[in-house]
Amino acid sequence: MIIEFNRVSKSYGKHNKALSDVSFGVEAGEMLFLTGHSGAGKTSILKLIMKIEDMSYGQAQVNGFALRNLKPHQLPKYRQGLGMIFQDHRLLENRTILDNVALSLWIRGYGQSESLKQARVILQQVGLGEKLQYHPSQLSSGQQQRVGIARAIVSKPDILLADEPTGNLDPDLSLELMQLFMKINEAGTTVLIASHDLILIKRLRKRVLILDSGALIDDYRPQ
Amino acid sequence: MNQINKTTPGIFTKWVRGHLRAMKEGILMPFQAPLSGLFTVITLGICFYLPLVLWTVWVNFSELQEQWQAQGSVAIFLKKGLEASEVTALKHELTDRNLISQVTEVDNNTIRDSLNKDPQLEQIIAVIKAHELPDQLLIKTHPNATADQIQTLVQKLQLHADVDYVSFDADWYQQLKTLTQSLYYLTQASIVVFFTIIFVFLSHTIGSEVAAHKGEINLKQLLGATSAQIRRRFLYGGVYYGLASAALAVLLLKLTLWWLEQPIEELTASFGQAIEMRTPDIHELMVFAGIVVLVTWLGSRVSAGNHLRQIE
Repeated sequence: MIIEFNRVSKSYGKHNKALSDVSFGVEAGEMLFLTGHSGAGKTSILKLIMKIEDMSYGQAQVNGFALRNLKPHQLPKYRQGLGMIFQDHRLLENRTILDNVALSLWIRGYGQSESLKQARVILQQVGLGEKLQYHPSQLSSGQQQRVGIARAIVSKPDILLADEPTGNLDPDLSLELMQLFMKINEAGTTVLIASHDLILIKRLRKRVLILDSGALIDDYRPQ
Repeated sequence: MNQINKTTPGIFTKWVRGHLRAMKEGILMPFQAPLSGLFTVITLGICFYLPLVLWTVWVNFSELQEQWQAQGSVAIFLKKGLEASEVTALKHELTDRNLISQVTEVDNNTIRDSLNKDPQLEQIIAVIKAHELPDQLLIKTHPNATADQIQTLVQKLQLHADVDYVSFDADWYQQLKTLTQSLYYLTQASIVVFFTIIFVFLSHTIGSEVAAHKGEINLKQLLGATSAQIRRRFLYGGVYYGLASAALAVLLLKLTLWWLEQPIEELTASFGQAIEMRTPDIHELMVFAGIVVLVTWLGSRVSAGNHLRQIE
């Protein structure tokens, strides 16, 4: 298992429980969705995996790391194995989109020319090859989302996490984006997407974890 | 999907590349807010300039003091009719003493020549021309010798069979020594005070830079950047601020010395001395740059470390 949650709970204070006793496992190379209404706990699971927040109870193993025992000095190495696509894109406004994507490789120690070359290739693959020198503010929300995806996949992470990646996109663009995720998954990356777009999820016929009020209520696997 | 080869670079390669990148990013720091960057450089420049000026004054004063002392802080007038071998034996005897660093023999012709060069001594020369001047031994004592120790030495020498008279101006010696020491301590104190100001001011500047880049820092952390990777650009930024300020301080020092050159020459000439103000040489400037790098790196390191921990 590349991701394994065992009775994981997350509370904010005494009465605000974001996750309650959640257990699931994900095989390497799998693609699956986390769904549920707003506040169901989708983003909390992603935040726990990214180690943005710590779990209150339970155990979780991700990419060979036990999250509860992860030391601060191990965190960068752990996160370098993950790719994260944020709902709000989190792009650096003072840099071109080429630099935004290359940033992920610079952090991993790749050289300037190698990083830029690879960032160029990925941006072409997500359809932004003509806008390499643009700044994020000059792009539409959908294009910014593609930059975020390019940044997340350029370093070939073991696990790709996406938080509501189609949140601001029209249906056609959303489907196009999902097809892009499927391509990434076919290349061997485990893909975990948090989305409340049930119509889209249904069309892709992938495994779906359904959450409600912080509890995992169904683990749907299509035939 | 065509993604990058998964073979990650080695630790050393990563380290070198990380530093090269941080060096480039750090140099942009003062230019991102040019006016505030300029004020920082000016403030730090003044803080480096003041100890540098005091140090330069101390170095020049020390050299002046050495010149005065080199003329012999203690003069031994020898008895007439001494053989050369006796004078040599006395020189060796004096050289062996702990307090004495140098003994110079001056014959009466040399003394007469040097007196003749000074127009203010015309009347004295007229009086002494009729008398034969004695030979002298000029003694240079060790720099750490106290006035009391020298005074004791003078009393002992006074009793020596070959010595006619020993001259030593204890008050002048003590005043000179105290003045030099005071200047030295003032320089030291100013270094401590101004380097503390630099440390605090630079910490504040770096703290503001960290706060201004909070979003970027958070993102880099999520992308897997280590604390050292995130910190590096702020360290280089701090060092660049320091080096720019140090260059300004040296420029201000040169301007000051140029401005004061004539008055200082006139002042030293009135004491019968010719002095050429010495500015820091290339070796001393390298040491100064090294200290600047060390201080600014340390200030940036402490500040960046603290502020990044707050963000984490």
